[in-house]
Amino acid sequence: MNEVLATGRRTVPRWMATPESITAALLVVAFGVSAAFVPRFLDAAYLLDRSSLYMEVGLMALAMTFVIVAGHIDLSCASILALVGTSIATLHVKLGVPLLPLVFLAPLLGALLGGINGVIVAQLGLPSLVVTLATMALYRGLAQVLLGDHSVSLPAWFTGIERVAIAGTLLPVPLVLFLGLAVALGLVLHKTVFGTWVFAMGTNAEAARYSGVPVAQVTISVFVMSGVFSAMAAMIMISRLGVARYDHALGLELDVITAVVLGGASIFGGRGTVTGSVLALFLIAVLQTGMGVANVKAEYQATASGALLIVAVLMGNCFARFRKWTASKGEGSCSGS
Amino acid sequence: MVIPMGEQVPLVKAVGLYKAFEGVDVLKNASLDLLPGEIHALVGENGAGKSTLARIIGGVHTPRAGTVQVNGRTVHFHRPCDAIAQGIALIHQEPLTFPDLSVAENIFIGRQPRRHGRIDWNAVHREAAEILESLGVKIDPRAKVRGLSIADQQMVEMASALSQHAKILLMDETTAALTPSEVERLFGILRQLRDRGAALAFIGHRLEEIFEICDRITVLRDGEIVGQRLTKETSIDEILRLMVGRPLAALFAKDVKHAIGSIALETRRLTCAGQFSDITLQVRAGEVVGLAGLVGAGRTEVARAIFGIEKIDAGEIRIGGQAVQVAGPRGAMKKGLALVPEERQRHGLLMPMSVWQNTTLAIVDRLARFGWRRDAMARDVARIGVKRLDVKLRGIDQPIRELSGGNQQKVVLSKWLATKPKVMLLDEPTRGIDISAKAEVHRLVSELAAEGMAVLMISSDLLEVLAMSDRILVMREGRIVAEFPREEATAERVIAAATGQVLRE
Repeated sequence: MNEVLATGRRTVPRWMATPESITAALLVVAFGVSAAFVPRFLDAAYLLDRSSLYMEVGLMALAMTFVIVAGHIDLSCASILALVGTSIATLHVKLGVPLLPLVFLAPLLGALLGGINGVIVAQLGLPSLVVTLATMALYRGLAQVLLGDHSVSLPAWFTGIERVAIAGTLLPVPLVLFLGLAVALGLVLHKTVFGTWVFAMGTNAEAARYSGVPVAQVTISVFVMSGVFSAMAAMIMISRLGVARYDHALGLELDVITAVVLGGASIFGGRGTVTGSVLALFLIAVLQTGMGVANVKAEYQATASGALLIVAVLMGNCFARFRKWTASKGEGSCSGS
Repeated sequence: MVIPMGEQVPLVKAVGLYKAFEGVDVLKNASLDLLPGEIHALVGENGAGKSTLARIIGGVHTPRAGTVQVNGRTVHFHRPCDAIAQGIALIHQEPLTFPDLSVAENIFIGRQPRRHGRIDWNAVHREAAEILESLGVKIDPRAKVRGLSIADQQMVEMASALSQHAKILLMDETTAALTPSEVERLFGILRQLRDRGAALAFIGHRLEEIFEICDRITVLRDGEIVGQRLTKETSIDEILRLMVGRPLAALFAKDVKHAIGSIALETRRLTCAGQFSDITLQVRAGEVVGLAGLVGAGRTEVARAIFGIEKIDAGEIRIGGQAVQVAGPRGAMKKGLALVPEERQRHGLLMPMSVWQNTTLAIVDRLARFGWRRDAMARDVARIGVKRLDVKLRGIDQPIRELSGGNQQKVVLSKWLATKPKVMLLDEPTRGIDISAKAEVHRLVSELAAEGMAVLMISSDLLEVLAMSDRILVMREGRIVAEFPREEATAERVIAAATGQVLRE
């Protein structure tokens, strides 16, 4: 049979040549360094407590993985978070709507806001970079219209979700929610028809369309997902901080995109894994926590985040070349050009 | 075959040029002399290598082997401006102008006359006007190029070439988009340039035009030069024979024994503004209908419209006798259509993905249960496709980009076969693939027709169309202009219809 023909010799095993394994290695190194310099770093309670700070980014990064693999980007995710948070707070505090149903309404609002992005991108064929740059400003602006410069406090029962642990463990609810959804979305991206369409579209949208992939619906879906996950992040954030403000999560889209790209997704689409995004999120968390404990100033932390994003993109390029190179090495007699 | 060149020294002498794209030879041992004071036609079917030859001389492509000499000195061009520096200008069918700049700016782009380090606009406009006047055309040098006709834009390109003292002009299908009066004006200018001692190469499809303007004709076929004639010593019929003369035996011919069934696909007065109009055609189950014509005749657009990729302005599509609205490729697929697109890598394949993923992309949802992919089934489908089309590969996990063009095309075909279509639209199914893969594709098409599939095959390979089709439709300038049953179809007739010649029989 054709299939048993030689696979060719590779100098490096295939699994080691994936961006995810590099991210995992960096995570181990970062963790080791932090643990060596900061004694508290090996305290499980401390780490779990700190983890809650990153679950909002994490939730948005899960959905952003789909958006980026599909060949798009959503710059408006942090603004959706702010607008959903302020909308819910406004409805509850100013109009007296009970909070519990509102918490379940929030994902629908997020779906609507993400859906607007998706419909504009899919139906008008505009680049998502520009569309979501516009809605990033628009949604943030609407959030400010709603609450102005005020902080609106939320009832005590609703706040402090990050201090609630799953019964009998030290695991805080946001972390468990994040890990659960990560597993679910990992399966969706890598095991379902929808996930396959997302990859096909990000690889070559035209060829995908010619092959009967419902490109418009998939595009709208990934933006709706991004909106829903931003809304969930909004609920966690206003619960954790106890207030809603228009400037919540300002600039957080940078961390979200950094996590996804650092996790091995190609910013041009067609490549990426949920596992990679999760690993990269924890890498960012460890680095920022490490820097925080080491008293690195906030502005230097931001600088480091930006630098990390560039390194992540460059790394992606190196991998593309490296894979091409190993492929051509292993090819042997296959194509005579 | 060799015609004495007299005392004249050629301005350009190309010797033994070879060029391959993606492993396929498109030019083989091509040699060409361009003499001063002569208009030299390059003719041949689509893909015969005429444009490639012109582009090598014009510095767009670098040959794999062979040399180009200008005025007796060997030159090595790496980019078009190297050729321009040697006085060679390539004029394209679609003028390469800057639409938002003025005519004068386009003529002098990159080398505007300067004074005190700044562009001397007066000189720019004055010199542009002089050149345009010498060409005998009335174009305002200050006008924006955007508003100009294609013909006038070509004049701007030509003026630019002349302003750089080009002595050698390569015209790549420059008359394809022109009206008869514009063609006449262009020919007047070409004769004028010839009389001034320029060497001109003229690529075209309309043989009447070529016989009117050219002094010498070189015929290419499958990348090789198969003949050279002086215009006054030859005839249109002889040139047509040279263009197609290839032994039919090298091809697989359709098995025509089986019965042809009811109408599977029908279009009625299908129109898409600016692309094609009034396309009425029928393809029956078990029938292979060839759609012949020149590049740009609108054949690809028709196939894309039927498949729901291009919007139609008028007319209707009927599948299995019922009028249907095709909403995009997905809808078309559900109605039993399949399209093997012309541009394999751009529209047909996900290059980084594996063979099995590509083979099953169109049916991934059909193979799934509750949205969950069933990869084991998908891999079986891919294995069946590989076996049926004899795809040469290491394994179905191999990325498709590592396969040769012919094997990639076979995967595209098996992708669409997996959808079990009733009607197959094939757009240039054997372009750029090697002979054995070609034969394989032909065998498959014949087999599918025998199983009762309706096939509409667009092809620029005339002999392929003749060998494979039960019926041949010919398109020219967006319309169907002729129809030949298999028995009545000859290469000469099809070419004549495609190019708008009146054949003397």
